[in-house]
Amino acid sequence: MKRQPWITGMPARLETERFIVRSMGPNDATDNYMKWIADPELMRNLNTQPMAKTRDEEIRRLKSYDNSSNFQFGVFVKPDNILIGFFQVRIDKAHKLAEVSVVIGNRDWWGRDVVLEARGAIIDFLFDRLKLEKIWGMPQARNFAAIANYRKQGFRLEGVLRGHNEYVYDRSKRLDFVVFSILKPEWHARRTKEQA
Amino acid sequence: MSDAARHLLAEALEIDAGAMADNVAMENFEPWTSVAHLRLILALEEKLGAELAPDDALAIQSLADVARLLERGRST
Repeated sequence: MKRQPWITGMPARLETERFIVRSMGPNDATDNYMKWIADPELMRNLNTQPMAKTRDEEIRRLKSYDNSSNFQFGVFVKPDNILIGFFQVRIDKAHKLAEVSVVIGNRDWWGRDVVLEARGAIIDFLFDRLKLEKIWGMPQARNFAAIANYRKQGFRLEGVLRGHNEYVYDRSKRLDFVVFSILKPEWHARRTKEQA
Repeated sequence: MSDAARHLLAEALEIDAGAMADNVAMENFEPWTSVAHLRLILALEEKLGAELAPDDALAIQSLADVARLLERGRST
């Protein structure tokens, strides 16, 4: 990954072999993106209702990311910069933690290690530039694809949160979630091993 | 390793069963993608006729884990 200059509060831009991973701005609320955030199949994994927002509302929401304590990174395929998904990052500066979640909206890219490659760049950024100490995620227990990605990226399972949320698509049901995390030394050991 | 486990995993990973070593594991086997893992769990649930408990699904990280789960399913 090429390292690019970045100042806190400014949009961040990361690069991997196949992707540009950068802070999303108002121009990124494309037709495809608006379809994804209104898609029940995609939003179900986040246990949120389809965000049936207008483009103006979504642009306002994207502008609310401060690129300091929270980010929304788009994943853009090189060289044509086609948006295929996005990550949301919420940072707890007091404890040097970040929670990361992801939606790959373009189904043609499912199962092609987009999450591993793009999240790898985000993890490098969070540990090395923002000096955080721990990154965690909380997929639904039946989001098996997400769980596989956490495992393959070296995250450790912290536990199962039983009946942790009401299922927003059927309020009579409650959903289990799982927590995965990785600490900075674990990530650096992994990167060192990859480069050996 | 049981043939049933080997074939179930190979089908989910869309590869030849003969292409897998007995010690194949999710973390270091390229065909074991996120989508392949999803296919595997759903195939296991179909074969066992029940949804896996979270702990059982989370335990599946290798061919040996698949074989263990199938063996246990057969004995219950």
